[in-house]
Amino acid sequence: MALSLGACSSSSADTSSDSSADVPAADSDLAYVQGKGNIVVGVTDFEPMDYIVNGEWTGFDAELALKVGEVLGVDVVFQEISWDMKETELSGKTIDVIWNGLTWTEDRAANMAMTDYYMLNKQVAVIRKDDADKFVSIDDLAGATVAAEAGSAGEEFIQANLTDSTYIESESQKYALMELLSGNVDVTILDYTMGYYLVNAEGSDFGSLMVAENLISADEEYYAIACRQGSDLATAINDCLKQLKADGTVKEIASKYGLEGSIVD
Amino acid sequence: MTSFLEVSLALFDGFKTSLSLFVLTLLFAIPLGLLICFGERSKFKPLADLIRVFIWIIRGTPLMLQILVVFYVPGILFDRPIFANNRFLAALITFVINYACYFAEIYRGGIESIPQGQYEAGQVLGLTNNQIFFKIILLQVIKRIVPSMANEIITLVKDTSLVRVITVVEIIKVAERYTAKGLIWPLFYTGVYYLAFCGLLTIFFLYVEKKLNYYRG
Repeated sequence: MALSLGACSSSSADTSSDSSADVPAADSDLAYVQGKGNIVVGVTDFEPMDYIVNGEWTGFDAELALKVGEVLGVDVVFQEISWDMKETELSGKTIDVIWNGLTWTEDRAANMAMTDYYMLNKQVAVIRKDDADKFVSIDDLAGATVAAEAGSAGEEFIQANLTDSTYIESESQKYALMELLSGNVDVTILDYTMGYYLVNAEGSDFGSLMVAENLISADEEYYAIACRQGSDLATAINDCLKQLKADGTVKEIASKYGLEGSIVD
Repeated sequence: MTSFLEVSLALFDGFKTSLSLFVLTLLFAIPLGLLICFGERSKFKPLADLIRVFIWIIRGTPLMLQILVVFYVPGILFDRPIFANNRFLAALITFVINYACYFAEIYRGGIESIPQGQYEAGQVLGLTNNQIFFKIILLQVIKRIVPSMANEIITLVKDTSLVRVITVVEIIKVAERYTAKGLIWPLFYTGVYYLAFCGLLTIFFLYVEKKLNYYRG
């Protein structure tokens, strides 16, 4: 709440100037962002990348975004979005970048300006612990019901590799896990980072689930930041990231979240 | 572990957003509905037809879709993301327009249920059309539409949960943040808030109906 209010007050004045600043700068997204003085970062509640502590967004991505904002000389405003609306939010200019453990894919690169990779990720399969003997290899998934978040890299994996399974779309990765927990599906495919976190978090209701290490072998994936199609902001962010990698800032932030092994050089 | 009290308070914070949307929607939609109703009953045919088409569109498409259109279309089609910094406002505008259309139809039903004889009686007494409407018809209409309005208003309480599609942080969105941390029960616990509030509304409308039931003493 505090965040969205902050966003209101800081930009109610900006909205009027937007329209005038917008016209000459229509081809430069960087100029648009610098003109309004803030970069609106689209995020979801996704530990350890972006999450809320005491009303403030934190996490690896959030901290890195703040550093990039510093270098670009603009304020960073975090806007929580619904993940399957991310492209709509971006092209509708209600956010300026998607920066939330977004997996780089060819489709995404064709429709949005993606930055260089900054982190390693992969899709993992999560099952109920009771089913540990039932699902051992990928062949066991024939005929199984599999859930993933709509529009996610997990969904792409299922459509490409698990054609003999029934695919169930979920609204978010957490609902995909709830499908599994409630027995509606047999397997959930989701990001390594979130899967490990939720299954192992202390006191988590998802404790009866487990990451099935060798059930699927998804290719390595990389997280990147998405800007609007043709945006020059992607290049600007790449330059910032290079600078922040060189001076050790990225490593420093990553080590706070136990992610130093996943950074891409 | 997150305590029951902490969760209850956080959810209540989210419920305040739901309630603000509820109250503000009623505040604007109740009078706007009357305007729409007048427009629909207008003797100027093009206006009446236009309003009928508008009501058809609003009642014929899902509220969730309307929220998405109001919020996203200005930025996508016109390059003017007017609601980028105020998602709540986009939700409110959508809700006001949507509910005003439903209210307009309820008003129309109420107005048309009043026998023609009462208008004629008013004319015989030499009252103007305005006097007839506001002094004779409207009060009876209010009385008759209370049950239908109560129905629609109670639906509104629960429809507020739709605004999470544009990430207005209402009670269910708050609960989902706990789910993202591995705590599921807050999601289902939100039902208690809706139930309690709808319970209060039900009692309130029963009281109103009773109060307005003066002819039967």
